Amino acid sequence: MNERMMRMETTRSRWSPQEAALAEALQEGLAPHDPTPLPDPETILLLAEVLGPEPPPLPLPIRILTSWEFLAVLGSLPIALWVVRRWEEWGLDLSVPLEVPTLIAIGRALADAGTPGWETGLLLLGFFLYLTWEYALNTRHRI
Amino acid sequence: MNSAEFKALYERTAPELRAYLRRCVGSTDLADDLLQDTFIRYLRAAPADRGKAQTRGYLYRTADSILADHWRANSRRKRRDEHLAAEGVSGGEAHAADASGETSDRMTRAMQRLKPKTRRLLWLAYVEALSHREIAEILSLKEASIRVLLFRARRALERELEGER
Repeated sequence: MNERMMRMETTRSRWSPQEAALAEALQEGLAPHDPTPLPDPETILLLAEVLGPEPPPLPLPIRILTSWEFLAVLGSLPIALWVVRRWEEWGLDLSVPLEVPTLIAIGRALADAGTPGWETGLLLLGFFLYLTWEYALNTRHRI
Repeated sequence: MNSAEFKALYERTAPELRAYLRRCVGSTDLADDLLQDTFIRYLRAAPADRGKAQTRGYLYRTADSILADHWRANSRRKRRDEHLAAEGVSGGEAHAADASGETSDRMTRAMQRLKPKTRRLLWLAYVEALSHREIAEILSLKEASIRVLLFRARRALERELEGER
């Protein structure tokens, strides 16, 4: 019995019937011991050597500046500014303070839940909106 | 990484990665090609020395990225073949899609439509039968989140399978 089969034996008892059915469906058609030999590792080593090392990744600032999250936030900024400038005209009450700790807590919760990119983007957008709102309020008070 | 270290890593991780790729593409030959590409990319990137769990996570992510490239190229080929077929030009027999495989079934198609992270989660939990702690280590997540993420992943797969009916 291989390592995976042994693990399976011990883990299976903890699964619900639905989980056990799912596991069975996922493994359907896959033999526990695949008789086909794996590709030769020597060939892989040789090919990797022939191709040479991959070029290094772009520097982090450039990757951030060209990421879609950053561009989305940047693109939404004019809309956010426009909304903030009009909010009084629309009679909206935005006096409920949205505090930085709240945002940090939301961010942490999202990170714990293994957030996909769009949720992070949304969080960044929210943070930007918050900053814009704060800025607009401060500016208005000074006036 | 020297040759002996690579071979040890390969022996340890290649069988499970091949099974994963095979489940995603439905063909052993194609899975082997993609497996080879995964390890070549791993060697060329020369990632810093990591623990076993991180290396495994890195390999799964690389395999998913190679799968994405493959599917993208495949859909381009399909579009081109359809275009050629519409013009009455024969073409594309050589690019029979993944359906050529032995396990091309509902589950394979459902797996193809899942998000890579969801796919990896389900695989590690229900095929590799790893504990939540091990999955968390491999996917760089918190152990406490795994239960919720697995629940969502199961729901996502159920939806995909229902869509297949």
